[in-house]
Amino acid sequence: MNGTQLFITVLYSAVTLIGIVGMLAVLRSTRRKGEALPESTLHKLHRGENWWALMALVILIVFFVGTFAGIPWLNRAQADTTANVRALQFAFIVQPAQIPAGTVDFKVKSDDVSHGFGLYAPDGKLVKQIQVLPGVTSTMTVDLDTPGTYKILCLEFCGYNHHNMVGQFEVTQ
Amino acid sequence: MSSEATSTRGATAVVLPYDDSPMLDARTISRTESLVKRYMWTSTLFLVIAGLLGLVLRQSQAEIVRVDDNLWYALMTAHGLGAFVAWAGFFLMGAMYWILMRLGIPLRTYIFAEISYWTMVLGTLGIVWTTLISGFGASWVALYPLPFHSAGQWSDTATGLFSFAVLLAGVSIITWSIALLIAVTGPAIQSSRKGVFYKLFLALGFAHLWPSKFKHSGERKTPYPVIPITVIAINMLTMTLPFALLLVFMIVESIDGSFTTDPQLAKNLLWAFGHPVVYLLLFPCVAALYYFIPRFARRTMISGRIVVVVWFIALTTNSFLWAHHMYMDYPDSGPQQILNLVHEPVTFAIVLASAVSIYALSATMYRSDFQWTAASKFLVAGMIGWLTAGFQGVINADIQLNEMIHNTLWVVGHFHHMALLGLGMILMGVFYAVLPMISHRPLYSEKLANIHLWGMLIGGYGWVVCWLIPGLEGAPRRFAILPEQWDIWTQLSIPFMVIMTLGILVGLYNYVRTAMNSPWTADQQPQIS
Ligand SMILES: [Cu+2]
Ligand SMILES: [Cu+2]
Repeated sequence: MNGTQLFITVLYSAVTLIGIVGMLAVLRSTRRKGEALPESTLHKLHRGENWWALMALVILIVFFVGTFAGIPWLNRAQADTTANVRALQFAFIVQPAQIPAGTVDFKVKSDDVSHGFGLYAPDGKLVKQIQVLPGVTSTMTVDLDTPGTYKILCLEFCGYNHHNMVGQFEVTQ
Repeated sequence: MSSEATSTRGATAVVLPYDDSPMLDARTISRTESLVKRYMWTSTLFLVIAGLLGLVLRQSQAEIVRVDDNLWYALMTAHGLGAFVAWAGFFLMGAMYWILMRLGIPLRTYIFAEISYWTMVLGTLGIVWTTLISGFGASWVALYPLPFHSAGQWSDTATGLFSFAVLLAGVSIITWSIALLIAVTGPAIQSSRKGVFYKLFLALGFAHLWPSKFKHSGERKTPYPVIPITVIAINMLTMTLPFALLLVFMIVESIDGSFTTDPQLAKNLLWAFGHPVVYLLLFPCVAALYYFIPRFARRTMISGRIVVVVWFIALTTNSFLWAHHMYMDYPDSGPQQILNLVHEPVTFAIVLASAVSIYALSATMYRSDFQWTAASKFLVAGMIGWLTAGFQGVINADIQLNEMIHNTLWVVGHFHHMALLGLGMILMGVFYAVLPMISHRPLYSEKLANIHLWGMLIGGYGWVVCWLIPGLEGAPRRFAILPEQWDIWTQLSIPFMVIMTLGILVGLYNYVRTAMNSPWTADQQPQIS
């Protein structure tokens, strides 16, 4: 698991746990049958709505500001090498097929329809991805420090043979 | 006439524990009920078809009986549109007529509802035909120019006909929106002033927010469920148009191949509709919860002004957030990068409507004398699904996290979690609540409803997790044959899927028995009065 995947797993598990515990507490509270809520509690529940909305707003703003550090087109490292990728129904052609370890710019173009350039490490896990529309060039910058055979899977549905659209290249020392 | 309506409801002992519905004349009630019945049963039939296709797809991935590659993608295309639009969307469209009627805001003309019904039926049949028979398999998004690059699998004519069928479904959504907007801007909203826009603001709840400026002529302020209904009607009326335009372009190209469209523009037009249409499910579900939860909790909804504000935010942002489906499209030149960046905070803003709604509904339930029935159990289970899938939505709204999850099985897990275990369960709760009332018969079996509930909870969550976990490792979506390393998850999902399917089948049996021997004869049964 890389950092992003770990982040999602931990964050999602924690928040879901809190959410479910909260909901179960609300459900449990309905077991005291028949007793009317005092005016003061009703009042608190009403006011709580504004605080709740404010809290949600603040969390969302924090989350949004946090993403700036990871927006790919705003955080590009200086590349050591450039590789050209041609995507077509149903293949990827990478040139050169051997790339020295370091920071790489992948310049991806499509011959026909939309494709997704999904880069998988030698251990089979997704490293990074970018989409490419026909008629434009999409550049993905990525650090490839581990030598080995990298695989490319298509991450945009592109026809009946989409799942066989595979490419590969070597990263050398 | 009000006494007649009361006796109709009373005779069958199908009443909500708390109900302040204004009484309407018997003719309006029976007319709406027969319309709603038609929507609900037809969409349920589409669930059976779409669900069956889903089973075939997943078992093929698990290599039980492998389906031919293009057929697999054609089935996927039909399954997506069928489950999302023809079942869930269509069902909820009908349910909204019923809720508005119960709130004393019935349809003022049935013509748009009829057009909406028939265009959806024809559109769905057209989709089934062009995918299963003509082999159109470009997925429901039909990402341009793929429909015209079939690699020999289907013809341009099939693309044209498919586009036309989807366009019919679009006409259905638009006419439905018109029917609702005519209803909520009518005399039933009790406006103190003339003018459609003033009435529209009243329907959006502005008398709660700004009572000195927005006044009703009567005592009653706009009931809360009307607010999300009005929001989605306005959104669907406007945001279906960009996609309709793209479909027209594709129909023209299927006839005259020299006519082409820019792929990047096409993708933006698609998602300008493709995201808002998600709320064709969510907002009506929220309206249903606003309607039913207070009634099962036997108190009015605990909510104030802020709910009006967040729904107004939802109304405006829903038209400008589609580019979150294009976060990984950032070509070196052109404005797409900026658009993607701008649409991120807008996407976050729409979360507020869900956050505040969950609070209001929970507060309404808190320490209430809540009545637990088949309907209310499903509504609450659906709320939990909505909440837990909603957190995934916030993750998906984030640009940097998309580098790992975009177009992976995580997304497939997310929308099945949201659409079936969240909104789908709310929808099924609505069916449990409404069906006895419109059939004038009590629910056939609470026990079977419990089996239905637990089948979906145990089977459904297990089934969804088998997508979420491999998705986080980068397992790709829309693969007829998945890379071997994730086979274990595909196989593990099958028993869960079987449990869930059995649960749903029990539920369907329960619905049909409630409506008596055949749902199609329910209309002809003598009314109890
Ligand atoms: Cu491809
Ligand atoms: Cu979206």
